[in-house]
Amino acid sequence: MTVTQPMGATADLATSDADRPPRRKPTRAYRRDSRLLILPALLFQLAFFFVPLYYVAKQSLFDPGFTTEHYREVFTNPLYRKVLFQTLRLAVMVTAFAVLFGYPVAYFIAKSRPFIAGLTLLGVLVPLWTSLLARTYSFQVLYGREGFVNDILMRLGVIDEPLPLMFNTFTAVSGMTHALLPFVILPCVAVMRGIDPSLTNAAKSLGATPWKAFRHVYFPLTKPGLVTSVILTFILALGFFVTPVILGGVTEFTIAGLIQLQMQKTLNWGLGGALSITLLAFTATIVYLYQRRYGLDKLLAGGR
Amino acid sequence: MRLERLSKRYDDVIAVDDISLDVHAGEFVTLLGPSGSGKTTTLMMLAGFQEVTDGTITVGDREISRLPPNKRDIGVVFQHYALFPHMRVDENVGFPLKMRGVGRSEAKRRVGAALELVKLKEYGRRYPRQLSGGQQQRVALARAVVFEPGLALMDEPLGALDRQLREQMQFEIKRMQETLGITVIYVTHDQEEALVMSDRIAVMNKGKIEQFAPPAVLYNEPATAFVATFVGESNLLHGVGVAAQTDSMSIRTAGGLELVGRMVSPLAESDPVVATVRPEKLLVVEPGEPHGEAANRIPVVCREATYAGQMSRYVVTASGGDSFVLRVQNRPGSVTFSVGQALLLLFGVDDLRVFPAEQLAETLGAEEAG
Repeated sequence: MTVTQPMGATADLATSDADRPPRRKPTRAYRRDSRLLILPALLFQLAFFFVPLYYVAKQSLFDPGFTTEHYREVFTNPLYRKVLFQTLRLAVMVTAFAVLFGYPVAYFIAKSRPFIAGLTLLGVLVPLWTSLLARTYSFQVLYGREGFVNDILMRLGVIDEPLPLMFNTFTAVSGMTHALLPFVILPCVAVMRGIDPSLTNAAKSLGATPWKAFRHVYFPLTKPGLVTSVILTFILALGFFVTPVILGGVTEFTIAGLIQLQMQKTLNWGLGGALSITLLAFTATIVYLYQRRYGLDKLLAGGR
Repeated sequence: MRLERLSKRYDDVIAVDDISLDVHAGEFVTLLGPSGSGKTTTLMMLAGFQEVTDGTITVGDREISRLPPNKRDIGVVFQHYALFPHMRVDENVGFPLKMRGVGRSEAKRRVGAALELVKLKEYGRRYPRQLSGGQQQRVALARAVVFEPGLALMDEPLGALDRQLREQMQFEIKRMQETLGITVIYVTHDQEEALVMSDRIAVMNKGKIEQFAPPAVLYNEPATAFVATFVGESNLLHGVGVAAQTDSMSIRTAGGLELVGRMVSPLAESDPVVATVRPEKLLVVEPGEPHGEAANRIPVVCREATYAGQMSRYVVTASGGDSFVLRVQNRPGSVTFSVGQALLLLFGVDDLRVFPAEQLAETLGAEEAG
């Protein structure tokens, strides 16, 4: 049943899931009004993102006259290429691990009784409330030269020399995976909660083993959550700064670290800008290709 | 299919309490009852989604009580269809065949036949969300029978549809069941639906089966006060037993009426009783008008008169305050009565059924007529 509201908008009232009428298109007046709603955020974005971005882009191309020198530097210097590749590799690894660990947790939360689910969700969220810097340094407390792990192992006589646990791929990946895990778990839980539990039962009654019911019915329906998770974690991992710099050191030197180096240490704003724009273009390309394959609209549509 | 002493307990709640049921091959059996009566739990145990606490389920000569759902070979139709939203209609219907490793061409043929059976042959390439509720339910039916199970379970499959569509679908489900010759166990809380569709109905209440009988027997000879009030409309009279004969009993109602009715379960003098009589079993005439024999003759006054086309509905009250609702067919030339008119109410021994009062005290929330 649809009821026409003064604004001319339509709202579904008491729609039975049996015969849902096709949703009527919003009227022009309604569209104009709703467009105004994004104005504050748009202005904010303009002032604090697009304008600074414009200057960064400008600096990368004018130094002081027009030059492509910085971009040539970015693409020809083997060091930068290596860092770019390293950043990408790190982001892929972190995304893979975050999905690998996060998906089962999301499944557990979605299937648990409300109390258990709430408790687990709290466990997921608490780290998110803790300062990233504090969490990252606590890794150092654990894995540093004089850290907890080395201390125990030394005392037990397992090792004579402290192990170089810090500043390598392992610590960078685990630190970042840990930081990004909520970005996998939360979207997946949201999508999983929207899946009708009788679908799995239906699959089983039709002859599917629990594994096949999962593979053919449940898993495909969680794809929108997975796609969201992968995009979120991957983008965040590509631009991650604090964690890889502190935990990865020079082994896992990332573009973000490189940009910070150019901007603040060597004060080469032109090169820093070129690196930033390259990272942005890179990220945009990957997201574009990914969305062509899986569809960004599917992310917004949720489980439908 | 046979259920033997089936029970389901959750901690200390008994959802299904020691029920036994023997269903013939090709029979359409309905589990009818209010919510919380255990009918859906029973169905879920049959399908294998709920573990059986006690008792056995046998289909043919195969005991399936402890088999996982995918090994039971039972078609299940869910209340909200449970179609797979990411699969096309033909993929949905083909799913059980795919799970059984049926070859592609054979599967295609059977999917086509199943869709033709539910008159959706042209809709195979659509997605479930592109279909109406009734069409979705037909897809769910096709999917539940395409792998030729001997038994299909249906859990309030028409609950989400509007009335007109429901009646049409009732007919279609019946037709399909008869065409395929499969056994159907159907769950509903809608007594009209149960009466229309079933070969036999098991009325459930508080985890037990109150009566298992064909619709006409259930309606005309309810075995308990609960069945009498839950299935169809009944006038309900509270009273005490006066004298019991072999199978009939005279009672005195709260309003002081002396009535004779059929004693359904053993009762003694001065036992509290409830008696029920169907509105359409009551005959009403003007005083002095000739009428046949009737064991119960009560002078009443008409309190309400409602003309409803093919029939009229009256509420009449006896001098002691006992009220009766009755329905009279409007035939050409038949008289109608008006409010305030003095009338004579007539009904036979068999029309009034006398039950122990505690049967109804146990069943709170049962529908009372009038």
